[in-house]
Amino acid sequence: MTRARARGADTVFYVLLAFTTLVFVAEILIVFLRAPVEARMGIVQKIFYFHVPSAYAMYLGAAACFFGSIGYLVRGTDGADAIARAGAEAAVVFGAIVLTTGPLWGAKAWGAFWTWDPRLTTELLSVLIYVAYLVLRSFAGDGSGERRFAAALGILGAANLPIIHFSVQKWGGQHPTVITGRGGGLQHPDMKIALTLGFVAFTLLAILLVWAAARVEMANSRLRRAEEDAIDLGLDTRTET
Amino acid sequence: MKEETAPAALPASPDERATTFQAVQGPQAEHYSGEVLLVCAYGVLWVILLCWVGLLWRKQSAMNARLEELDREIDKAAGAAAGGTPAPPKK
Repeated sequence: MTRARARGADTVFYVLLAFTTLVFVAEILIVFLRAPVEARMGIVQKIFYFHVPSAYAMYLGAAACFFGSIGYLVRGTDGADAIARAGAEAAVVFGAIVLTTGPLWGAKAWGAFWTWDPRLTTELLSVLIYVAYLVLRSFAGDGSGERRFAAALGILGAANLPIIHFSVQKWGGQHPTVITGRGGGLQHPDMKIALTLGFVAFTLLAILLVWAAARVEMANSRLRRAEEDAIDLGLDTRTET
Repeated sequence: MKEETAPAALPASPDERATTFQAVQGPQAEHYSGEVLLVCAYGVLWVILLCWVGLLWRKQSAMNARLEELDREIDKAAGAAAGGTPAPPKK
């Protein structure tokens, strides 16, 4: 029964992988061949179609970390802990994409790679919180105390997300507000299609990668328990580290 | 005549070197190429994603190796418990 369930999960995973690949191919074709070049900024504006979805995917990773952390504190399961850790990894990866593609756009639009704009600063802070989470998980051991401490950090890390989101409205700054309520929006239908497809592609990618990372973490937890059992039974020649 | 082709303002001392930058006039103003920035951004996106997938792959491979090692230990112990002859390896 369990094996059949695992096989079913594998099938869903590979179907999702194939679908994500197709959506990405369509997104690339639409962004580079169909979406028009922006009038004022030129071709560099096309960074927008994967910069913004990456930021959204970072929120998804952070949300996975938040709910996984709450789940771990409430139920204490390996699964919840694995989702929290995978979510934090996704938040760092997609946050790194946001923090590198954004400055490359800024170099053209603002004439500077970086400014201490409220949104850029809060975004950097958020990524650093999730980096701290991963450093803690990597170097502080894997006991339940460390896991609980990391879960608290995962919950606190999510508190910064609304601040990133509303920083542009509250504190101004240079960051564009094209797709917020105040912005004028995308003026061409193909631009809207490219952005919508970007959101779909990055949502699927974030789900896939968080799923894959969580499965690796789950397997790692089971392996560690098996190692502890082997040491207790005197089967394992390796000493505990 | 020779004085006209010389640099406009040479620093009088090493201390002045950083204070004599001059703005470029006219159409020579510095520009970043939009195409290059777009390609860099797109490349960075895939490099970061592939690095993460690579790290996951490495972690998975290390786990598989460790699992095989544990399997061998269990087989050895089972063989010893069964009368001194090691059990056949699992397929």
